[in-house]
Amino acid sequence: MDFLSALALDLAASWTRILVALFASIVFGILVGIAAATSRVLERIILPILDILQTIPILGFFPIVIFLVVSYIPGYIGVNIAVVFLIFTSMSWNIAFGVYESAKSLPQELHEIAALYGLSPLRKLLRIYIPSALPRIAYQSTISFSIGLFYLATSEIFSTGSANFAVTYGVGIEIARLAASAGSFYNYLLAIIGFVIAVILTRVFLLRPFSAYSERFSLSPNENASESAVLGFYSLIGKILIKPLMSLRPRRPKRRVVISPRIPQAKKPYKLVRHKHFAHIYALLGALVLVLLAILLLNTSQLGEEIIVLNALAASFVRVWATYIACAAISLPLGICIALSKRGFEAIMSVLQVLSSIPAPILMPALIALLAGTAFFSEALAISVIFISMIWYILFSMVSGMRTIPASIFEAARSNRLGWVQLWRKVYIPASLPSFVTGSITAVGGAWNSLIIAEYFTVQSNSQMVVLGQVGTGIGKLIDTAVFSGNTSLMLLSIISMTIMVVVVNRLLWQKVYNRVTTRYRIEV
Amino acid sequence: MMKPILELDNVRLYFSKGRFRTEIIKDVSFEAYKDEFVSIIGPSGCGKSSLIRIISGLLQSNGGEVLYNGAEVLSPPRGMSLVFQDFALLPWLTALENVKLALSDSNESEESKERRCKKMLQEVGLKGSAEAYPKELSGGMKQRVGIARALVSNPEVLLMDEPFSSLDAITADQLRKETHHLLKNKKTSVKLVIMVSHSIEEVIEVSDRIIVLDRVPTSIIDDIYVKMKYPRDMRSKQYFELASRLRKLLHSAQS
Ligand SMILES: Nc1ncnc2c1ncn2[C@@H]1O[C@H](COP(=O)(O)OP(=O)(O)OP(=O)(O)O)[C@@H](O)[C@H]1O
Ligand SMILES: [Mg+2]
Repeated sequence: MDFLSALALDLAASWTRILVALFASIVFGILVGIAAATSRVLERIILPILDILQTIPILGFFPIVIFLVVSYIPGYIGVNIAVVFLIFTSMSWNIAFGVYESAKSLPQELHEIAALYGLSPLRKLLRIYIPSALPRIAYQSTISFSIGLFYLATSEIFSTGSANFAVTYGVGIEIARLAASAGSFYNYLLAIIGFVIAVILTRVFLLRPFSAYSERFSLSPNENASESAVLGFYSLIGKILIKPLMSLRPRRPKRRVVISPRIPQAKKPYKLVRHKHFAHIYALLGALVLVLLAILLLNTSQLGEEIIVLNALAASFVRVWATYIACAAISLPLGICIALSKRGFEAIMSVLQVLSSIPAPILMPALIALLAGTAFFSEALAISVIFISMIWYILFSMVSGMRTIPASIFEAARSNRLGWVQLWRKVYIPASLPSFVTGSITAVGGAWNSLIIAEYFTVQSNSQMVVLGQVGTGIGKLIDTAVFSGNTSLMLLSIISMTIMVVVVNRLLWQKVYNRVTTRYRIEV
Repeated sequence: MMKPILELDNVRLYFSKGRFRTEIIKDVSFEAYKDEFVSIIGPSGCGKSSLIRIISGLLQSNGGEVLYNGAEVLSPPRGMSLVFQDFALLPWLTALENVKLALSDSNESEESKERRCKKMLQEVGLKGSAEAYPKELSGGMKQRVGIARALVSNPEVLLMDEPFSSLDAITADQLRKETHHLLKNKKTSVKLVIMVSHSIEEVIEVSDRIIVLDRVPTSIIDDIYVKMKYPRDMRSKQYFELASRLRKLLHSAQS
């Protein structure tokens, strides 16, 4: 089989996985989001779980999941279930939050209409809840898709690290294979180009038409309604083929008619649930600590391993935060410059969108080639992967946040002839802080996820496990080696310790910074 | 013959989006002199805000020129200040710090800056609120800070883009009267005021001269000098005639 058709097959396999996961996430998001919005009891169960899901480093659990699933369902079915499940977990909370928020902020009038016409719960779901949530679902799907790409690539590449778990087809595998056999630079380039084209096609033919379609259901006026030429074509086909389904559409409100100004404008990939109570976080922490103790006590032979785990955790902590500081120092000014650029903004954004659609793990072969022979090769490789996984979150969060700031704020600065230093210190940096912090929270969360591949990169070559990069010590590496060597208790110990650390930092640091920054620096529009 | 402070000469503006180009300002020319309070009124969306931004140097026109004391305006010049419709206060700075922003390019000492800003806040009726943050202030108080910020740098020209239209009617009325009083009684450095508005009552109440703009693409359709005494009597015949003249003009511009 020539390379191009192999690549097409791999892409088809990968895209099947991510689209199945996306579809499952949307169904899950609708059910769970609406359940939480309509039932007080369910709300108190679901919200904390979603909050936990967005906080913990899900990828850290992937090794356990794949380990468990494959031991029950061996073969490629089990591996694929594990991969799809992982992508699903990374995407679904995001969509469920979106549905929940939009169902929660449904204008009172619509409830009254439903009561007035005596709609049954099912009809209310179909005619009111789901249509009104569609714009948010479409928006969150676009974000989820980007997040999912990262998890897709990482889980596929990770799975190839061991013959037991390896998926058979997938771009991730192609990348890993190419990384192992040096010299196929041309094929590698083709693989990346193929990946980017697949991303663009998905956007143009699936996500953008979905957004444009969903905006008909929008309850708030939207100046920058997204356009999609493809949608027109689809609706033509749709009119012919699925006319009956179209009757689902509610009577279309005229554009610019505001039913309710209360629709939340918050469009952030990360949502800090602003509860006053953190009971669920403490419960989670308590449970994790208990499991940790149980493992240690039941398995006294493992007592010494706690030191190894703590060591690895400390090393990874320094690695992640040092990289974050470097990344923040670059992306803060860069994000401000991009967000404020007038000419060429569209062009810059389209270039960035293409670049950001390439998940860091896919760049590893290039990074390896680039960094080969340097003094701290493995360390540099890990840091580069962490860096690339972080920067896009921060940049995109800043651009979308700062673009909603009224122009008059910056005009006031210009008309008062602020100097360069004053302009940055008093205006640009403070104005960027809320979106910068939101992006940072997601970025650091993503960094912890990327560790299982950044710190320890192995591929199969001629049925041999080849380690291409491994740092001295780190929690990601520890998890990987524990999984590959079948050391279950060490694996659990590492994952649980990492989760505790991430949850504690979120609670002690991020929640405080976020609250402070959003009360002080948010510009009300 | 007196020299004008401000001259607009065939100012044109268009926005281009892709291949499409929308003409916003077709051709606007006028001269404004010392001691004038000029109002610019026109139908909504006709380009009033764009015009005042061109005058202030924030926006570059696509043709013609703006001269301030004979020099072409290419960036916001010293000597001009702008008051914004939405106040444009920085929420992370106190009222005092917001006002001080306008003095950032002066080389006075910090104490003297602070003293002047406090005095200015006092003059606009915000004596006790220097340390308050914008979100702790009411709409009327926010715009008072906006006006203090515009006046503290001792500008010669004061530009205002619908300064009272984000306020409720009663607050707007009061602040308009106070501002007019402050500007007319030569208590400030301001020699020329240009105010954008869409309210007929508002412009008759305060203006020496009213420039009426056409719908987009806009040009001047009338330039009226108002010779009534202040404070203007709403029940007078002149008031009534001027109001109905403006109403007719705006009506024909809108349709
Ligand atoms: N950056 C821009 N790009 C394209 N079109 C613009 C831009 N800014 C303004 N416009 C258009 O130019 C026209 C004039 O806008 P402008 O804000 O100057 O009008 P205005 O008279 O102040 O309106 P309003 O009464 O709403 O304050 C409007 O039709 C607006 O849609
Ligand atoms: Mg305007």
